[in-house]
Amino acid sequence: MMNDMNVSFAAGALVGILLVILFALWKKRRGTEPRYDERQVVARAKAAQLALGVLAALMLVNGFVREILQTAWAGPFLEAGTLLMAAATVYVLRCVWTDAYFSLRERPKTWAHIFAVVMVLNAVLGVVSILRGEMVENGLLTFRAANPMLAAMFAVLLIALALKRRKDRREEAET
Amino acid sequence: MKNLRLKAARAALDLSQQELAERVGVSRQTINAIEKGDYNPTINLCLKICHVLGKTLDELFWE
Amino acid sequence: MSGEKRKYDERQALSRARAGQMAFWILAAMVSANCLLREILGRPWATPFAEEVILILPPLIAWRVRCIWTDADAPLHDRQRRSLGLDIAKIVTSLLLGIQGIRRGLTAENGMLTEECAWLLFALGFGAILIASALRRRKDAREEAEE
Repeated sequence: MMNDMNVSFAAGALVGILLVILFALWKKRRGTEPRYDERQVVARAKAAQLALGVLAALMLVNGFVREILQTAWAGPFLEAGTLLMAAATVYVLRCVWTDAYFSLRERPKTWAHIFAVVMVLNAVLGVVSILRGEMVENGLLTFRAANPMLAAMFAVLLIALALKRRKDRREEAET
Repeated sequence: MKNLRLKAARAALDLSQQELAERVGVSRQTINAIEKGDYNPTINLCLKICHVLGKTLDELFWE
Repeated sequence: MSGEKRKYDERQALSRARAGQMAFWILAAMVSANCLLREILGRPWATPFAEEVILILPPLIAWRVRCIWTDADAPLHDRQRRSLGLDIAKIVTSLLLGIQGIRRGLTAENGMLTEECAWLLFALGFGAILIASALRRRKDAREEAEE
C-alpha cells in the first residue's frame, strides 16, 4: 500500500508535471512557445527514437536483475523514475549535441543558469540524505536517492552544453 | 556533399551564418549543417535561402 | 535478406523517427502508470521480467504499425510483398502458445502474471501488423488507380 513518503513524493512529482504543463500552455497563449526549425524537428525525433531503444533495453536489464535478485532494488516510483531519467538523459544529450535542444526563441545561457541552480539544490539535498542515512530503507533505495540522480543528470547536461558551446565557437571562428 | 556555392553566396553579401539563419528563420547550426553537407534542406527552406541571398535554386543547390 | 545495409529514403527515415518518438512517449506513460499501479496494489502484478516485456511490447507494436501506415517499414531495396501465410502462421502459433499457457496454468504464478502472457500480446501485435499492412496495401492500390 502507498505509504506517506511515497504519497508525498508522488504529489510532488504531480505538482511538478502540472507546473510544466501550465508553463507550456502559458507560453503557447503568449505566442512564445518553443519553435524548432525543420532540421531540429528531425533531430529531436531521432533522439526520441534513440531514447526509446535505451529505455526498452534498460527495462529488460532491470527485469533481469530483479528476476535474479528475486527482490526489487528500489520502490516502484524510484525504479520507474530512474529508468525514465536515464532515457531522458540520453535524449537530452543527443538533442544538445545536434543543436536541437533549445528552440529558436530560447536563450541557452539563461537555461544553463537555471540548470546549475537545480543541480546544486539536488546535490545538497542528496548529500544531506546520505549524511542522515536516509538513502536506504529495508534494503531498498528510498525516493531520496532521486536527488543525487537528478544532480548527476543536470551535471551531465551542463557539461554537454559547455562542450557544445566550445565546438560552436570553434565553428563560428572557422566560417 | 559540401555546399560551397551557398557559402560563397553568403560571403558575397557579407553575411555571417548567424545573420543568414536569422533572416531565413532557422538556427545557425542548420545553415552550418547545410553548408557542410550534413543536412539536406526541404524545398521550402531552399527557396527561403535563395530568396534571402537573391539567387536561384539552380545557382545554389543544383549539382 | 541480403547483407547490404537497409536504405530508407529521407521521408521514410523521418517517418520512422517520428514513429519512434510516439512509441517513446507511450512507453514513458506506461512505465509511469505501472509504478502508480504497483504502489496502489502494494505488490507486483507480474513477475519481474514479464512485467517489463508486457510494458515494452505495446509501444513497439504501435511503432511498427505506424511505420507500416506511413510506408516507412520496408526499405527501398526490400519491397517484397508480405507473405500472408507466414503472418497468419505467426498469429496462430502465438495464440496457440498463449492458450496452452492459460490451460496449463502457466500464465499466473502466486497471483502474478508470467512471461507466458507475452504470447497473447505477440498474437495481438502480429494481428495488428497484418491488418495495418492490408489496409495500407488497399490504400496504395486506390492511390495508384487514381493517378
